[in-house]
Amino acid sequence: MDTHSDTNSLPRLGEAAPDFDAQTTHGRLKLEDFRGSWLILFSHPADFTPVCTTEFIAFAEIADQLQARNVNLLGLSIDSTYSHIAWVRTIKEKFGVDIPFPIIADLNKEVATAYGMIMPGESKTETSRAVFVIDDKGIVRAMIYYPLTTGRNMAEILRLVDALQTTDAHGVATPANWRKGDKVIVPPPGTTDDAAARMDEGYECIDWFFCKKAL
Amino acid sequence: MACVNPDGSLSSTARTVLEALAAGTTDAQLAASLGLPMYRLRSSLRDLRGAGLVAADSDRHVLTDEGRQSLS
Repeated sequence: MDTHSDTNSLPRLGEAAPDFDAQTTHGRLKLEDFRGSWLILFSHPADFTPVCTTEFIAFAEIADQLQARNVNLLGLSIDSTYSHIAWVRTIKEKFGVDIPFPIIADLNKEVATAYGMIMPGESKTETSRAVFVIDDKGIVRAMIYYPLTTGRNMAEILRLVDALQTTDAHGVATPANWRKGDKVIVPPPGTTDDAAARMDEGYECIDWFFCKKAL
Repeated sequence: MACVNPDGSLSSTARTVLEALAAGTTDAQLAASLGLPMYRLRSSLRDLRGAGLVAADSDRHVLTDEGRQSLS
């Protein structure tokens, strides 16, 4: 079986995000520079490509909403800083959109390799559309992978951040298609005594293991 | 953007940061007053520390003698 040293690493949910020290369009940045705030580290296949351009515009459009949630954005591709700068300037010129977040110029693929962003079945020279949600303590909380051909959904990224931060703030889980303001899942009881008591605790319960509440 | 240019001169960001530090402020206050996200300020301060122009001191950075000279 063919193996690729560029692609054999993958972060794991609940573990520390891999450190990086990378040249970006906003100067040299390390993961530790983001401590105390959440970070969405995302990769795109290449500058000056149409799907990526629509995504960058879309990320820029939600940047303020993310900032309000204490989340910073950081892009990445295997392109040079000069390519990134030129592309950002073109997006401003042709689409009237400022790209407010930094972009890693990962020409040596160090960060892409550490985060498992290269999918050789799709491309050995480009990063796929990966999204890593890293919390304010540097822990990987969620990962999303999209193929080269499919642009990402910003509403889902915002929803995911809201869900993770709601879980942290209230010790609850969130059901399918949950949106901020919807009822949340109360963690199921772990003992028979707690299970017996659960139905009388004032939650909206279908059964002892399936209870919701409003926040 | 490097804080110190290849010719040894200060970038505009570096000068702005150093001037604000000269007034005495915490890193968090400095980021807020400059309208910079913390990650950008930390990156700039790391460059300035590397150049010997500032030193870390608890929750803030202070100018070194060399940093003060660079502003004169």
